[in-house]
Amino acid sequence: MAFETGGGIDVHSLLRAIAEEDDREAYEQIGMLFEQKVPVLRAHAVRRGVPPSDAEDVVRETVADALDKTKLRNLWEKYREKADINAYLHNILRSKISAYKRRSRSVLPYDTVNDTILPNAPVSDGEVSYSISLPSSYENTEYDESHSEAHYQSDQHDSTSRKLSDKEKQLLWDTIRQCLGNDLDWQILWLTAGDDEMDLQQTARMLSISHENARCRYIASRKKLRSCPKFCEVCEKLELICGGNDDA
Amino acid sequence: MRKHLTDEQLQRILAALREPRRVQPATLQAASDSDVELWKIPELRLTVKRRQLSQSQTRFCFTGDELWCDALVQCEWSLYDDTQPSDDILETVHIFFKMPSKDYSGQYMREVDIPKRLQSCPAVARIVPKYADPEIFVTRWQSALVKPSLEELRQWIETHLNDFPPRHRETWLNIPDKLAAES
Repeated sequence: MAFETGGGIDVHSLLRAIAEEDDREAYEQIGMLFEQKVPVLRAHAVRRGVPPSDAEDVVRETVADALDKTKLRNLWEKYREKADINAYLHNILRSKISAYKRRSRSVLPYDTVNDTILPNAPVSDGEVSYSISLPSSYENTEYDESHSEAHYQSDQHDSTSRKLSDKEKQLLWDTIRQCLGNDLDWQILWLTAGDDEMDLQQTARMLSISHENARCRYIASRKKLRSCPKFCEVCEKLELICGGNDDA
Repeated sequence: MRKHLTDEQLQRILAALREPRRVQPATLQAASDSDVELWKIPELRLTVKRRQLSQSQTRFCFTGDELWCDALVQCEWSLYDDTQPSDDILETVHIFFKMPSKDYSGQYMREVDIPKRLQSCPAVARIVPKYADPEIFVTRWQSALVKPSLEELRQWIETHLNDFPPRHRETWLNIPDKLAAES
């Protein structure tokens, strides 16, 4: 299904397709769209007093929460063509920032310029933990019964939030390289998912390819990865996901 | 029976891979020298070393394995306003360089001097001849702050000619002359 109009991606068509047809491609496209908003959201979180070192986690939570299909369906059903994804993302971000501050027990005066907590900050006696738990909407991903292939079910024990070691990251990237079998596709994924955090337009420029080509290849690569047995196996081995269910 | 990841799972795995890479002191001797930094990017099989030569001159040294043999590489830096807490990009700088085709103990290395104060590790990408769009390439090449000579570019294109799609080969071969005429 095509979701583009002359002016770019038609967000309302994506939302409608997700809400009414549970369209996978539309869901992936909205995921990409949200990814492109990450730098803006992160800057906003920092402006709202979240330390830069934690802003990424807060934004990751926001994007993960925003991608909840039930929430996306509700957004479409409530607002239809008036749905505004920027407002939607910022509302979720606002609540995540509040939750972050609550978790920090006290709101620490934060020097955003020097990336430090100000010296007279009222730190509580106990340990102030900044660790971010995964959003509840992501802790229980539903099994898509309409799909003929077995999915990994029960994300309750997913541990993707943990820090990956350099060796684990290298193993994953090497596996991605094997699964994709194409240097261009690997580079697209690396540039967009790696710590350079490029959007697809920047990625396309870096590789001297068109934005449309980068977008199509990005979507195809993600599809390929999701169904790559080797990649699933490595993710399982690293305990990033739980074991799959064979329902054949 | 095939196993299959959900969109959400893949999203989370990719997010977990997105962690800022740590900067390491270039050497023990240089550990106290804040003007030298080293980034190891194992997944890219590349090491990037930065040395501040002066207030307006930075040297980057790129070292990679056989994956980088004779690669035409594009790097980009995003420059931020250090006085502001926001992540708004002030300016981007990009360059091209060509890795050598001869190795030294299995490593390919290139030093590039850039007339700019650059303090971060750049985004790095290899141009893939099979898919590169000649028009987009020319535009990027023209606006690059530093780039190889047109003769080096011509040699690279001729060496990799069979890797370009047949319909684009003529266009690629003409690029150095076109760039020379426009400069």
